Amino acid sequence: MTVNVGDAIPTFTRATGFANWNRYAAVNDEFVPIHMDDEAGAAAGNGGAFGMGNLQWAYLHNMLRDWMGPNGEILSMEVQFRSPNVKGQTVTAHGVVTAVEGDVVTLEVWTDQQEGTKLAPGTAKVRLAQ
Amino acid sequence: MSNISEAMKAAVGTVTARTTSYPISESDIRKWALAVYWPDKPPAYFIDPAEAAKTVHGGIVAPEDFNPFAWASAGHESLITNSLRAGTNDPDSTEKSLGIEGPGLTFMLNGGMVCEYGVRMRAGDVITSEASVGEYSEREGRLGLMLFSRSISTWTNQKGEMVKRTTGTLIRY
Amino acid sequence: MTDTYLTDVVRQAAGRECSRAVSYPIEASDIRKWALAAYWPERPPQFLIDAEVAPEDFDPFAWGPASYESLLPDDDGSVIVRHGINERALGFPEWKFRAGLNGGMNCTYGVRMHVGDVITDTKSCGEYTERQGRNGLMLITQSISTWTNQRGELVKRTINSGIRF
Repeated sequence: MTVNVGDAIPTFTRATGFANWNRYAAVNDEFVPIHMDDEAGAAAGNGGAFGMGNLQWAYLHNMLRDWMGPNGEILSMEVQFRSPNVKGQTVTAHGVVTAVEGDVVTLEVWTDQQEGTKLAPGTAKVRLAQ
Repeated sequence: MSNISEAMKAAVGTVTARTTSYPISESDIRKWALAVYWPDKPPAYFIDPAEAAKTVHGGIVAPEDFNPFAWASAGHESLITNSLRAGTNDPDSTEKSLGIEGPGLTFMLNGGMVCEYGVRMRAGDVITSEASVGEYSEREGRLGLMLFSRSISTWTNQKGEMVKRTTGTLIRY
Repeated sequence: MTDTYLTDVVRQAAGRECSRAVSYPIEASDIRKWALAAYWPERPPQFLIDAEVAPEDFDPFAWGPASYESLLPDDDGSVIVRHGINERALGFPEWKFRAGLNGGMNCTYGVRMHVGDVITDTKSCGEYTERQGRNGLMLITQSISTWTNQRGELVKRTINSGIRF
């Protein structure tokens, strides 16, 4: 795989709502009212229930993993949660290569919603498979 | 002028808590993968041992973002014995929990989090998470002298290999 | 207005095996998390945390079976019918109903489920009956789910009833 600075890697997209959030809550034991209950989400200032930051984190990992295949290695990741993932949004994870040193690639990564608003921007470093 | 006291410097590296997971099962890995790829199918190498055997890992490994501490842990010990009372909204709660005086700054904000990954987690692994006090640093900023303090969570497997290190930064001013 | 739902095809289907699903091996973690969820917010009994035995209501098919096959020649097997049977593949008439209700379920338990067990669920068609009621002629359906472990021992037999009119 040839990788160059500026390359955009394949995205990872999900329509989000209780179908994904409840399953993530089930595996991660993350049954927090703001993620389960529209009233609690609204009380927290988000109009309704909203998705877990951890699931945005997982989608960014899924994107990198699907791009590299099982033999690639995620070395590190850092993200900030800027904007909530509210119900009904289509969330897409993106990545653009910012540096290449041998087989180690640094990427700017982020999730956004269907209108392009960034939800969780960050950076990641990976080692590509031989 | 610095907000970093000798006591704070001496506390760096202190392990504050240790948590041990139950053994990871293939079922945990399978369900995690099903959930984070929902509604599409996850890659077969998270589900099917034969597919996983074809990868460099030679078998099923957990997704990097997998949490072996979800629902329950097999053991937890707090290693802090002489903590001072502090509310979680107290900017000095980190130091007070260690039994030392904090810098007494007024404002705090989340400075973000970074994860570094080591070896992968597999079925049968027992993961130990150690919480420790990271480095302090400070910098003159728009808001005056800003204090950066770090808390570190280090996961190791039963062989003592590093699985994941998460560093969180708290900014106070 | 239908005179009867119970055509020969429907009557003769009683007892017919329709599908077979096999679970992944039950793991301690499955039992522990099931118990934590079912007792929430109280702590479950220690023997369930320790996964000495699965709770009777434990479902080893949650999140999907390891394999699934339809036993009906006219079923392409593409749809896993989790809580019923594939009436279309059995050749039943394409009834039109105004409403469908869950009529309840009845479970008989055999041996307990343990860590390492692989459970097979064989679903069969039960006896369909009908009854005249306030809403006209009601169809009362029955599907039977039989769970056995890897030694062929009966784990659980569930009769699910439905009411349609």
